Amino acid sequence: MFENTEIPPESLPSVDDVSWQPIARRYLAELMAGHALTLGILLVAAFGGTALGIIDAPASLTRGIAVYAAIHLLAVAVWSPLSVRCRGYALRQHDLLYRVGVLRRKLIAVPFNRIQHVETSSGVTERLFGLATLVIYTAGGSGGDLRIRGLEAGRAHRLRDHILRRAGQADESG
Amino acid sequence: MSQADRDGWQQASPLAVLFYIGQILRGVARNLFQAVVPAAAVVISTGWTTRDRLYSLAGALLVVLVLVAVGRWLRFRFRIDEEGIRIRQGIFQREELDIGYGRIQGINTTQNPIYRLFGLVDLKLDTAGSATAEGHLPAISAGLGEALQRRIRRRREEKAQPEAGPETGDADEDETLLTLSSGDMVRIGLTGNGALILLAVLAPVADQLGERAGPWLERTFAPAAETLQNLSPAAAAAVFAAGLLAAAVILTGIAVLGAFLRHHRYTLTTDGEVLRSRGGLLTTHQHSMGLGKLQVLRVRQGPLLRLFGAFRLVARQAASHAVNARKSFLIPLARPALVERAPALFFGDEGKDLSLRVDGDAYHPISRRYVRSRTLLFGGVGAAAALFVFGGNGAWAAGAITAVLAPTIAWALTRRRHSRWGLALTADAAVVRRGFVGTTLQAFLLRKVQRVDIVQSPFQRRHGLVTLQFVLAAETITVPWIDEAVARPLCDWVLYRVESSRLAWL
Repeated sequence: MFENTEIPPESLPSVDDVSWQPIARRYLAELMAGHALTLGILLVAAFGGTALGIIDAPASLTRGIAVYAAIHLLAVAVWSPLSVRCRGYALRQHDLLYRVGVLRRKLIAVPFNRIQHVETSSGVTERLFGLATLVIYTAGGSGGDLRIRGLEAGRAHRLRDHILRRAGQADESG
Repeated sequence: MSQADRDGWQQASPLAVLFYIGQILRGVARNLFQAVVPAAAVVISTGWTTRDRLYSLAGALLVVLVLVAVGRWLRFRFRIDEEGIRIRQGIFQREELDIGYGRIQGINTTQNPIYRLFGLVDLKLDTAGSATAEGHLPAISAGLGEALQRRIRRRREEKAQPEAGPETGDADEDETLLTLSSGDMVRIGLTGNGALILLAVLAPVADQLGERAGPWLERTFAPAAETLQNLSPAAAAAVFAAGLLAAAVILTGIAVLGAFLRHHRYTLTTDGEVLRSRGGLLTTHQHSMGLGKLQVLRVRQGPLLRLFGAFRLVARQAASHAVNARKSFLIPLARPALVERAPALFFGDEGKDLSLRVDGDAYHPISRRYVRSRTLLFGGVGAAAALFVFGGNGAWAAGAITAVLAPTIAWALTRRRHSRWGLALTADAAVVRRGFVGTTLQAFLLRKVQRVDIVQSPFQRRHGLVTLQFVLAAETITVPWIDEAVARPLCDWVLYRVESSRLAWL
């Protein structure tokens, strides 16, 4: 028998009442290491190259690069902890929630029965720290992809498997 | 026209060779567009001996072109069976496509005058999840095309009611929703942005021509130019205005002609499941779309359309991005009566409470702080830039005037946008109204939403406002600066509708 009982809006589960899971603390270290690595290569190229006589850069340029690197690292060191603290995800029975952003905050809700496929990926520095990125694809074009960075590798894989299972169940019943 | 071998594999008509030649030429033109004009210039400016050599080169290329086209036709096979359509193609790299009937979102056929002479059609299949139309049957017999459409329709009906006999399916007649007259073609030409696009395309070409034609023009019109120089300023302005007017008339004329070519004798029909349009002067375009495949319905009314009391409807399917307009279904000129019926037509029972009104206060407005924030942002940046530029030159008076003017203009413009922006909701569907000069409505079913985003900037957070984004398979719909107390429960409601829905979203 078909039923269609009315649902009072107040009784709906709210996206605000969830307990947010933080992403791995190590992601902060990975973030810093990534920036330090890029800047390090830049500095080595500038100073090493000049010292060895491969490139002929004026002293003001190399000094400028050094100052930039220092400011960049400082900014990352101040901003990253805030950024990492503001990120979090929450797994519910029927969807996945993700929040991101320090100043401009964003809350993203992806229902399991709209997920096309899920993948985990880890780059070189991510592998070094045992982290992985979870990528969730929906049919909304490139704007519909959700990337959750800085998850512990094991947890990312478990999340992926769980979401895949839930997405499959949603497809079968729907 | 098409012979079938033992396994049911069929070949396209030999006329498909013409199509392949066109396709290759189009591909070359698209990829080497920038190279064509310089190449032509080189050919024209070089001497006769090199030119002869170039002609033989062009001849050789032409032979290769025809050979490739014939090869493609020879290697093209298709088969229509119970499951779907299979296509085998490719000269060196064999490609095999398998398109199940369930994945087909729409069928487009075109028939140019040559094809019509031989009773052929060019058939394209829109499938879910591909950015371009992937199934393409060039030059097949018109009868076969119709048979294929009937078969797809029958499959759909069988799926909808497995017990019902086939006779019930044939019983319901197609209903004609809309026919457009010649006067309507003029209206489409006037209201479409075809003229603007044409201008954008022609401007660089005209520029190129102008450089070459300059000396010739000078020689021919030198006497006229002298008289022009002797004219009074008022007369010169009149001549200039007349020139502009003439250009506008010519462009509009071409746009109207384009509307005739594309939509002449346009008819829109439906059998309740599938929407079909048919029209075109020389080449007949036939387009069909399963109504269930609709993701977002756009209703647009610019100032001219408003004058004519008409609307422009675009039904967008999954993955119909701007790069491929074919994956959306266009109704170029819709009367108010059709727009009134549109919710029931496109969304069925789920759309029955929906109203697609352009005006009226049925829309929940966005916050007035939107105006304040944008005025501060754009007006402030504009004023600062004006002071910087003019102040740098010492023209303080001009700087001050612009600095006052910039926020005023920004305020007027954002106010206009603010007054248009709004959201209307029913239990199953939503309409977002937006616009600046004209008005656009975006209507969609809540259960077809793929993802919901709530974005909040620091300024918005202070005032309890958020920007809500609904990601759909066709496009992302944004409702900026609405009350948090409205947005968060709405987000919960949409998620509930999506997650409890047992219906297919595609």
